[in-house]
Amino acid sequence: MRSKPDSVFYMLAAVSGIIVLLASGFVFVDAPLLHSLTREAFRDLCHQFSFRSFSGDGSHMAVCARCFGIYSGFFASAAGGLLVWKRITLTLRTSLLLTALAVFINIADVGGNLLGFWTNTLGSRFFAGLFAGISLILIIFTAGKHHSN
Amino acid sequence: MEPREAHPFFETSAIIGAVMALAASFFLYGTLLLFPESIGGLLLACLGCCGLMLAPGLVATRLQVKKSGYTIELGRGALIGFVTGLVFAVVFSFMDVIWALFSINANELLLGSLEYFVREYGDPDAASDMEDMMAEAGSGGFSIGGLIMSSIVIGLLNLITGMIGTAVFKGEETLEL
Repeated sequence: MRSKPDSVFYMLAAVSGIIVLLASGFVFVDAPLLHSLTREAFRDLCHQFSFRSFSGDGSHMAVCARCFGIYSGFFASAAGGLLVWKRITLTLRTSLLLTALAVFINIADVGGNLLGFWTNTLGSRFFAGLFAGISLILIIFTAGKHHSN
Repeated sequence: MEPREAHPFFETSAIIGAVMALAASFFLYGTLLLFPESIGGLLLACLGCCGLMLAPGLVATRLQVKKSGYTIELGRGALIGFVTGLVFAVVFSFMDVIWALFSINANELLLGSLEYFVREYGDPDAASDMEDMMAEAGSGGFSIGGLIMSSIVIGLLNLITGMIGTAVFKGEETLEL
């Protein structure tokens, strides 16, 4: 096992940070061009309904709350993994099981809402997405920990 | 260096990206054309297309591992995924132009289906939202800035799926960079 993370994991944290920043649609700054460009960037990846997105200063993020949760999960997991590198003991099998569980939770959240069993909220969509994002990055960490030196 | 040269990945990645972009475009818009006013069709089209948009990185690393027989390093998996995602994004955007040759406005087709979904779904907030989106789609067109941003985002997401593919798919031997 490697005692220190490879540089590729720092790159992963940087890349996922950039994705979160782009997904936020730069709602925290007054820059209409950035808002429209980021919306265009995610056009094919998300329905972008404003009533399902977080907003700030009157404009909405480039993606819905669930997608933002997934991308935030990427970043949280990638950055957090670097901080607790030595403590990561997950196997590939465990991380795949976690991912399957995250997918199931998201399907249940969407399905239950569509069928009228419950009404999901921005928060529930965000956290369901966050779990999925975290579990996906954990798969990568298992490979980094167990590759030969 | 020999194993890398024996199994070049740029060509394979580009081909996989292009083929999957064609598949995603045909799947998304084909399903919407075949089932224009169907919630099942819309869900199938959107889920299938999103899946196909994130799959290139996984498929490209899987094929690279299978072809070479080596377990590839995470950095190489990331590069393979990024290249595949970039090609995917460019070809997928180009397909919108091809659809336009057959008088099909891909963007309007998707928004039209989403509007139907919103009407059926009956959310009052969504109705005004859809009007804004339709107006925005009508006033906007193909933009180079949008294409570049979209290529970067899809490339970066496939960089991550490429790394996931590297972690999941392993060959019999390990190839060090």
